[in-house]
Amino acid sequence: MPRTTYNKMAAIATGLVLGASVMLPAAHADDYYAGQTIRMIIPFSPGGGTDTFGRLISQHLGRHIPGSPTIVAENVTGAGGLLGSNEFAERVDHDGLTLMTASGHLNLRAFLGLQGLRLDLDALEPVVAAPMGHVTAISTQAGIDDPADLLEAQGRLTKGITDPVGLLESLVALEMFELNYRAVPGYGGRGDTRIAFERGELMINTQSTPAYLNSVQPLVDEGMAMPLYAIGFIDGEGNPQRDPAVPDMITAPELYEQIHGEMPSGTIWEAFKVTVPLVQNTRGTVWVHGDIPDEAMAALREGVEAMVNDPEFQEASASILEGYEIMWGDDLGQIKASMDAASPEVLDYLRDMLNERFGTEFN
Amino acid sequence: MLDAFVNAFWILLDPFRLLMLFSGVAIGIAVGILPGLGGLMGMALVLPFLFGMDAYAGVALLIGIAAAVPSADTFPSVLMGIPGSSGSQATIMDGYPMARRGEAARALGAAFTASLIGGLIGALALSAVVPFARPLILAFGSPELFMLTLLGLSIIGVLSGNRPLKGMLAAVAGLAIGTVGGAPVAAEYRFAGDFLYLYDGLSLVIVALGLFALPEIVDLLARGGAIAERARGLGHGWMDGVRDTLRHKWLVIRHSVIGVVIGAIPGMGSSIIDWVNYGIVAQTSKDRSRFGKGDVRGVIAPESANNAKEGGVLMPTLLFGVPGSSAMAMLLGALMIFGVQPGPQMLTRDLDLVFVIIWSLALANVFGTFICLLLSRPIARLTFVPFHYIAPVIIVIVIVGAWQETRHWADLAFLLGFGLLGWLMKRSGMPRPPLLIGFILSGLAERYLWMSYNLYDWEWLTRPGVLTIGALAVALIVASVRLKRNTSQRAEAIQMAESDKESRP
Amino acid sequence: MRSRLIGIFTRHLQTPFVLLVLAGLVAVLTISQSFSLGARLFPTVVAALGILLALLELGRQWLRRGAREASDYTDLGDEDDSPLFFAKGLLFFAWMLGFVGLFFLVGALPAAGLFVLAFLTLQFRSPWLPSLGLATGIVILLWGLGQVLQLRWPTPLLGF
Repeated sequence: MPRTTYNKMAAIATGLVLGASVMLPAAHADDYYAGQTIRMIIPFSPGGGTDTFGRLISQHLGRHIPGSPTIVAENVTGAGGLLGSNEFAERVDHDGLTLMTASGHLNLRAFLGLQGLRLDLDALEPVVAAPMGHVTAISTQAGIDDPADLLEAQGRLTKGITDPVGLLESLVALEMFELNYRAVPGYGGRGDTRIAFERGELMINTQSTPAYLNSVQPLVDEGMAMPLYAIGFIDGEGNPQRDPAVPDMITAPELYEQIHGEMPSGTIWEAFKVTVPLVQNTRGTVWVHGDIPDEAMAALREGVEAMVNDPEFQEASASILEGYEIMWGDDLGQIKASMDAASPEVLDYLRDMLNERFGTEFN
Repeated sequence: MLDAFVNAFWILLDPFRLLMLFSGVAIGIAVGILPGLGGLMGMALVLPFLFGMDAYAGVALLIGIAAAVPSADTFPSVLMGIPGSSGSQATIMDGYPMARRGEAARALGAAFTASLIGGLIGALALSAVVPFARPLILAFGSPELFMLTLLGLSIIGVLSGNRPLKGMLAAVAGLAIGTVGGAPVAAEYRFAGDFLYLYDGLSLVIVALGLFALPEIVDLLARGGAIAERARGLGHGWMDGVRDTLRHKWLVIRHSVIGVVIGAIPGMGSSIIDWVNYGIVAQTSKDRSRFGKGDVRGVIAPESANNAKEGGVLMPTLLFGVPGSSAMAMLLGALMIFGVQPGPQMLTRDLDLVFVIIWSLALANVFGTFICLLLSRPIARLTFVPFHYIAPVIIVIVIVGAWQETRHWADLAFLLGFGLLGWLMKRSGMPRPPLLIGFILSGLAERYLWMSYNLYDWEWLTRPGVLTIGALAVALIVASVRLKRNTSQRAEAIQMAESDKESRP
Repeated sequence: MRSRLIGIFTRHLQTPFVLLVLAGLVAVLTISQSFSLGARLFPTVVAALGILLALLELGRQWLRRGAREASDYTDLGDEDDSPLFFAKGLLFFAWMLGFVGLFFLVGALPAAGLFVLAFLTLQFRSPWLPSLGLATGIVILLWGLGQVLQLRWPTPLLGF
């Protein structure tokens, strides 16, 4: 072949190869989830709050992820969420085709290392989350008119316990006030504690803010109960933040300051600052394995951003989120940040408290 | 109030919503007929579809399923002695012996008529009582709930027949088996070791299916032949059943009311309702000699209660957001999707939805039981088919169904294990129903006992509610012992006469 | 005659069975002692009560040995109790165990078909054609139910 033709052919060939290689990565990111089915493990029974959130995400996220995969929700129940979590942690491939919806309390259990739970949050990345605040109320039978008189409450201050780890943030708050309360375990769920509270069986009650507004507020209006504080949220600098659903309600740290004249301090305050952000995403946190391929992670993040901005999703999610904003993108950083900020003393403190009072065992 | 009641009817009359109601009924019947699957599965199935519907249609769909399951799960109970979902368990006691005598169609006819009337009474009770239900529901604290579990345990007397000691032993064994898993008041997973599957304890569906279904299948196969030992006129069976129920209408009403009341008490669960009703009818009827051998009243009582309870469990669910059964937990989830918050304000803010629920309950019961009645004649014919053709199909369905709940291999291992246990119990004359009752009530009894003590120390024993229920339980036991002495003397005399006849050449 | 046979059989089996229950209750009692107070109180009381009842029952059986056990309605029907009946019962349990094994080995649908076919032809000597028909029928039914009810099948161990 003449030399010039050879050079031209080489040039064309190189051009083609270069052109193709430029196109390939772009096609790859779009293709990762194309035609795929994503499995959303929900470690709880259908119908609960976390399940509803997980199903909401399953319904909407799929079509916003590049490639439009289908997301199928699957309830894997048992052992209080342990069976589904362990399956997610150990028995599925880390290829981005499996997600899990955890409740804030499941996050806490994993964080503390509850015995039998093999979920390691450090190995996971949050995809999207939804917060929910909590409010603690007291029966007027305790004889106080003002939350600031909390420490003078009389009588047997019974508090219903469903699952000690599940109520940790409310327990830590009570411990912070050094209130002498009597824990009564055995309740099946927060609904049961609410009925018992209304019945006069229990003195102190913590509910999610929407449930408080719906079911406990009427009691307050009748004069049978009184709100003590909202658990509230903790911002990036460790300061208390009001619960957006009840912005006029004082938060627990602020009440402490009102009673004692200064902000809380010490290990228990650190424990509060760690527990609250982790748990207040109680509605649900969708996790994915941290070591999935980069294209998959990018596709997921793109999908979440598109979903959150989709008016159809906003409309559908309004009733389920009950007034709170969905957490996505950079906001999710606070979940891991609060976990990282936890010192060993705080972890020991929490584990010891649970173990002494309730016999909970850890890994 | 009245115009909301009428208005809701027109709301429901929308073609799409009616279609949802019918679909719900169809799903409920399909899921109820097949043993091993539960009504819960039917409701979980349609959850994804709820996201696109309006609240009325969604509610019609779910209530359609919830109302049809207690009707349809009578089929496996009567035809094969297999407890369907947790609903029609006690029906096996008399429904199945009737099928064995070739009276399956009659049993089914009676059952469905009772279900229909019971369901309607449940819907009626719901609409009448729900404005006043709150204080009634609040009256039952932990001590009263504990006494109710004792009341439940007092029924084992009648379920043990002539062997009270064996019955008590079985019940206590059931209580012991029920302690496996998480302790209600301590963070201890009893008898589970590292086996996570047992952390939740044993599954009621697995235990009930194993104890009752497998031994019947095995024994029928070993005996050979068909389910019905004797042939009887097929065609007119179910009309006889309908007439039976209409003749015992006061029984239907009484047990429907009991079903509604127990269903309305949050914290008791709904699995015990049909057993309690069976126990009551067997303990308080004058002529008790035929209970357990095919007395149609033993079918009518639990079946009416079974359907009526759906009206009862809706009360704590709607008024407090506390589910009265696992099906109701699903309904709550659905309400959340529709943006409806359960609570007292439902009676003001969402009154039309409440009445749509009531109407759906009523209509679903009517449609459901009519369809079941139509199906009863062809399905009853199965009792005359040689059983070895039916058995493998049933075995496959039961095992596949039982596995669906957790998809853990241990479910099937325990199913077979309890099957073997139930079979051995039959061979050694140990009655099985007390074991199941003990198992069901174990967790509840322990939980409420502890809570009563933690809340009130020992004062809880002196509460009026506690004393009343306690007196009721004692009265039932006394009545049953007294009646039993009379009937067993009579029965013994009859048996002696019969055996004399048999031993004569 | 029939009731006498039942009496004999029940009499022979009832004692070993109560002993079995007794053993179980003793196990529950012993193991429970290693739990914390809140977890062990109830099982201890229940097991103790059960042991008492079991001993009473054994006593009653000893006192009434030789007497006829009146069978009654909770039997859900009188069966022809004989050693052959007993053995056949165990045989059918073995069949069910076989199906469960097959279920995990080759998956739900093949297992169902094979089980029905084998059961009818081998155990009951049913002619091939109706057996095959029923087997095919069950596979179709199961597949249909699986679609409609979104049933889940196990992953077969013998990877297909």
